[in-house]
Amino acid sequence: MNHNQQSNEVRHDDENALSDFLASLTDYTPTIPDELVEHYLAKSGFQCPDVRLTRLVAVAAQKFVSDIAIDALQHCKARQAAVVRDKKDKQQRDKRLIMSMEDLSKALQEYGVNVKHQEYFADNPSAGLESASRDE
Amino acid sequence: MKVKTKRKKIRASFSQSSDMESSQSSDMESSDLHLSVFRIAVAQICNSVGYTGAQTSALKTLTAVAVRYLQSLAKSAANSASSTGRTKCNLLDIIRALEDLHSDVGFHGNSDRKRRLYILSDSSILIDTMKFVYLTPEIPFAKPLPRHSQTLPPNPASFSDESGKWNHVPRWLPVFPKTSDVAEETVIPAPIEDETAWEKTESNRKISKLPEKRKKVSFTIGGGGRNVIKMQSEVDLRDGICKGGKRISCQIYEDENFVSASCSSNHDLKPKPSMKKKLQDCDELIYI
Repeated sequence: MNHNQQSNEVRHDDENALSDFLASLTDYTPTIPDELVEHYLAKSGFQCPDVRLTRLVAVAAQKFVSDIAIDALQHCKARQAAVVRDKKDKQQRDKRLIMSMEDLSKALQEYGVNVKHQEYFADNPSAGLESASRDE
Repeated sequence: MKVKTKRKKIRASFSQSSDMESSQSSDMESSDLHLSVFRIAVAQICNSVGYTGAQTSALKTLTAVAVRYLQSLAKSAANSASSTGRTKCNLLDIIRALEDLHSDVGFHGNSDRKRRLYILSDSSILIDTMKFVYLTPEIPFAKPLPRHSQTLPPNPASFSDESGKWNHVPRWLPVFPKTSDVAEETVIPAPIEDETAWEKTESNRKISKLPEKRKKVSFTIGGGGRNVIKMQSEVDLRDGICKGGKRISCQIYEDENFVSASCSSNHDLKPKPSMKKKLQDCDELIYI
């Protein structure tokens, strides 16, 4: 009846859109190479002979990484805009966008990954401490 | 242009670091190799986003996160496939796994109570991925990768039900092995290139058939004379078994003409005559 017809139509649309998308995936080469993706998928128990599905997984991972990178880039640019500089320095800083651990940890925090980076490393626990017992 | 030269420098440094990593990784485990290859891909993605450089620790962290993402995606897809009784994953498994992973971040349509159980084109994650594919330009991987041949063995021929005789056998089982009425042929192994002369003579013989008449070999303790004679097989028994001065003689019977080769040391230990007779009686029973 109506509901069935509607669901059938939706399914036809589904199939058309998906078949087009999967056909486009065969042309698109994701940045992560297929062999690497297949290695990690096989390691986790994912079995699929279809190349398009492995490419879909590779594209999903690529999208994830690019989303995090874009968020980190926005943090970096926001930090640069907050610091007021002369014209010369600003131009130089715009070209030097380097991904740092601070920006990455802020970006990853939104995805639920808590990354804390050591600010400095010391050779013993009492390094840098201002102790009254230090004899000079 | 300044911008381009700087970007080229950073790309060159990226490629140098990747070269170093790929040369170092030959000594490391295979997981480190995959990590370093993945790092190159992640660096390329960051470069395409707009970054001109990255701290090594930040790049490594992002790579580790991406690897975990990939593995958890695969695990949840495999779980959803096996929970429905399948071994191979399909598109629906992947979409479900993606939705599982992105459920904490949130995606459009997650709160919809009326959406279908099997989500295809109306899943927003899939739509986002499609948009990503259409909008972003292709970034092929920077380094050439060695392509290995398919390591999985080809599937054996599945059971086909030509006549109605094998209806009870499920189709996914392999075919029965071929049983021939001809008698078994003798097995002759193929010659290998690096085999020594001894191995060649051994392999020339047919292994499945034993020779009907074999040479009888017997060993006696205490027999043999004073002469020091080398064995037929050119093994000087003085060094090995007869080091202590014991006398061992080996007699090879060949069609009732026995050729006795004996080897003894300089010391003569004459056994008692009764013992010698007993040993001689035992000799005939022992043959190889």
